[in-house]
Amino acid sequence: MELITPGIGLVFWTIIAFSTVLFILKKYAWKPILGALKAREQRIDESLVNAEKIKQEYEGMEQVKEKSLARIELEKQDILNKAKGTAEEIIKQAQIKAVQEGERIIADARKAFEAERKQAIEDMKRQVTLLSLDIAEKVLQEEFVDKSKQVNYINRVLEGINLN
Amino acid sequence: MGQQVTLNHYYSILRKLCVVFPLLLLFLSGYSFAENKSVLNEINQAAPHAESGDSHSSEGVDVGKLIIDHVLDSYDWHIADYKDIHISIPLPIILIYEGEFYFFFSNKFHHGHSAYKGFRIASEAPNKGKIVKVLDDGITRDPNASLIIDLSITKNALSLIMVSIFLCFLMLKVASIYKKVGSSKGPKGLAVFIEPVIIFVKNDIAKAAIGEHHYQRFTPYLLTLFFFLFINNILGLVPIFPGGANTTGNISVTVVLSMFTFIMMQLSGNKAYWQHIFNTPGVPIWLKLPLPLMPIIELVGVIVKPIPLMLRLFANITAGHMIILGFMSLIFVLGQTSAGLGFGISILTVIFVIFMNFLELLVAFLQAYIFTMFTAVFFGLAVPEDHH
Repeated sequence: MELITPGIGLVFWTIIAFSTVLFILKKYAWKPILGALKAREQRIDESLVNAEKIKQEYEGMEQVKEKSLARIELEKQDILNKAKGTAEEIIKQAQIKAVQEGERIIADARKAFEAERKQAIEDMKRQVTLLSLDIAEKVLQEEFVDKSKQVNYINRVLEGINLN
Repeated sequence: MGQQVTLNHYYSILRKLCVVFPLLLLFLSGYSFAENKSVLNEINQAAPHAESGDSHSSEGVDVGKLIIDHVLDSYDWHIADYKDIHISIPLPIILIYEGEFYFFFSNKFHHGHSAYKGFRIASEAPNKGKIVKVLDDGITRDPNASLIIDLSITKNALSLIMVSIFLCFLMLKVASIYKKVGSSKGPKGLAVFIEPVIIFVKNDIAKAAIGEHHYQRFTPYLLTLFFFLFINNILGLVPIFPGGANTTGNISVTVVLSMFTFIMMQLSGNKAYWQHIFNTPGVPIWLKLPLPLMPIIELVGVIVKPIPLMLRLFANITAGHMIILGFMSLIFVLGQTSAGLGFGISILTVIFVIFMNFLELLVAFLQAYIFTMFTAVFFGLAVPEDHH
């Protein structure tokens, strides 16, 4: 019978012991422990969410990177092509210019030469005329020293002239 | 990756348990031998009494009495007997009798053989084992004695106090580890052992039975209850001081614990809970008026709830102790007829008792779990989740 009869002493001490333990543990043990566990759980959750976000961000960035790379590649090709075209153009232009310049120089030279030649011919003509006049003057002076010769000459000339 | 960390963490706990369990085994097999010795001595003591005229135990061993004496509370902490010398720790006796306060140690009673200041430990029913007021001759019970308020720190009370102190130190230590480590890292040191249990109680008992919204309010109580019960149950299995007190197998202790649960349940009961009791929804009106049949049934249900809680723990723990003691006594009962038989049976008995101790380890955990679980379920009933 004693086995199932509660004793007041033990009931009293059990109440004291258990309520003290409950009070102390609730205040000084479970609060920090449960707090730390909760904080850790939250931290883990946040970390997981963050990791997922970062992964997505990384993937997004990777895509952006790839797109940029492709665009850059295109641009590069474009620029290269353009540059090549421009270079060719420039070379062609230069060649044409050079040829034109050459031709122009040659033409100029030819023109100058022609002018010089004409000048020279003109000079020569003038000189020859003057020379001829001089000679003619001299010859005439020589011829008409002797009066008889002049008369002869006039005669010959007159004879030559046939008046019809 | 987080999965991996927790797995590793559990492996490390398992490894540590593998170290702890054989030690526990060793300790418990020590139990068998220590229990052997004390049982033997008590039987030897009991024998002359039996011979001197007890009619019902002609065999010389009153196993029933012995077992009951072992599972009951006592005023001193018996450790061992050697021949006629009783080695026991005297415990403080605190009595309030007729407004007067008495304080002395239990060795004054000389193991119940003598009276002190007019008090004596009764050796016969109806107050067998309790302190009673005696007449001047020191034997006869005072028929006119008024009520003795006995607040003695008995074996079980001392055990409870020691467990309480141990539990406080343990958990404060664990709390200090958490304060130091913070939330950035996993558990360290003692916390490695305690944390899985805390998480188990928090998630699998509190959250599962009470529900997402209210469980946090009750978790500290449930954790305290679980650890208090578990350590007491385990310590009850340890045969020598500081163990061996059958605390959770004592009805006084289980009464108090179930009352704590009951009172907390009523105090935290919300509107829906009381409405369910006094005006049960979905029940025809003629069950409530004019004869309040349903409220009466519901009220009975409320009052009855803590009783199985109390009895289950008490009965399971006490029964476990009784079985182990019974098998141990078998050696001596048979040993009295023939020494060889006693020796022969002792091998089987010790093996069986070791097996029983393992079973009791399981029961120690299981009963702590069940008590806590039902407490949580009751709290869950007191704060029903709103069903939208």
